[in-house]
Amino acid sequence: MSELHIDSIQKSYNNIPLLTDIFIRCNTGEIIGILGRNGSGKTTLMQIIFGSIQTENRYINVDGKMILNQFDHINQIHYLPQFDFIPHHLRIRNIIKLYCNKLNTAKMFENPIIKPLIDKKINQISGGERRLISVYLLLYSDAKFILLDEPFNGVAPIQRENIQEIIQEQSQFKGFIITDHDYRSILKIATKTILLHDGGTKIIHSNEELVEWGYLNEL
Amino acid sequence: MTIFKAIYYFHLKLFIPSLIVGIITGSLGWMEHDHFSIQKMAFGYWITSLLFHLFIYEVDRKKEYIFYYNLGLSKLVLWISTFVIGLSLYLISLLL
Repeated sequence: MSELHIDSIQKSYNNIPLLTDIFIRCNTGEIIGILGRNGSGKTTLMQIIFGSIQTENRYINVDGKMILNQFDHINQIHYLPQFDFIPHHLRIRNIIKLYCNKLNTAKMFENPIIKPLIDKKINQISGGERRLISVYLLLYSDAKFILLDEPFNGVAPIQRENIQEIIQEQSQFKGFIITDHDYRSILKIATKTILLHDGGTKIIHSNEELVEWGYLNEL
Repeated sequence: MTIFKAIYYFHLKLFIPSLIVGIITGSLGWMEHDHFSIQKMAFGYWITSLLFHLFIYEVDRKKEYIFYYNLGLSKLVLWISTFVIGLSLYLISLLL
């Protein structure tokens, strides 16, 4: 079992602290759902964990080894951003082979949504299909920990259910940290729920606490 | 192996436009020496690949860096690869 340890993250914008008291521990087999209001710093936190933005202070450690740069990420942490990040000039078949091991490559090639698109380039498919390919690619990708930023956004309800199933299936081998405004989807699959509030992380033990912390008006 | 494949895919986008400019630069050899200049072509390729890297990846398609970060390639490594590939082609052309 592997462990991702995130601690001591501090981030400010224009001297206004955004993240101050962050502590997350994620093991393979866990699905951690991060909830928070708009502007609470969810995406910033994901980007800091991934290392794509700089911060005043960060402590990211996988199995006792500090993650300091992108090279340390190889097969450790992968990140799905909210935006379209896959190069448009590449064929879907090649992208899958680049990100996934043989077993998961075969699973993706047989996926009924991906199969008809497999020989197309990214610029030959629609925006919605692109989003789905990005999400599936990360779910099946060859890393111990997967950070998913709004994986359910812009996805049809039936696909949401498929994504939830794949996350649960793949969590046997990896740890997931997911943030999304679709809190119902998060609560359905998360093994641990964390609320980002006032720059810190609060572990949520019951759905009622989301009302107490002011994330929801009512259940 | 995955890293080298990823670098190859990264450079696919730079290769054709840089090669076209390189061929044009090489053709300038007709004016000076009455023959196509491979050295000029390689030098043209080297410089324009750096410029295309700047315009394509730093300005137009900046978000694509995340794709390569996931594979362990930092921005610095990708810039170094562009520089080194162009320089290597230029040095090889000097030996021809």
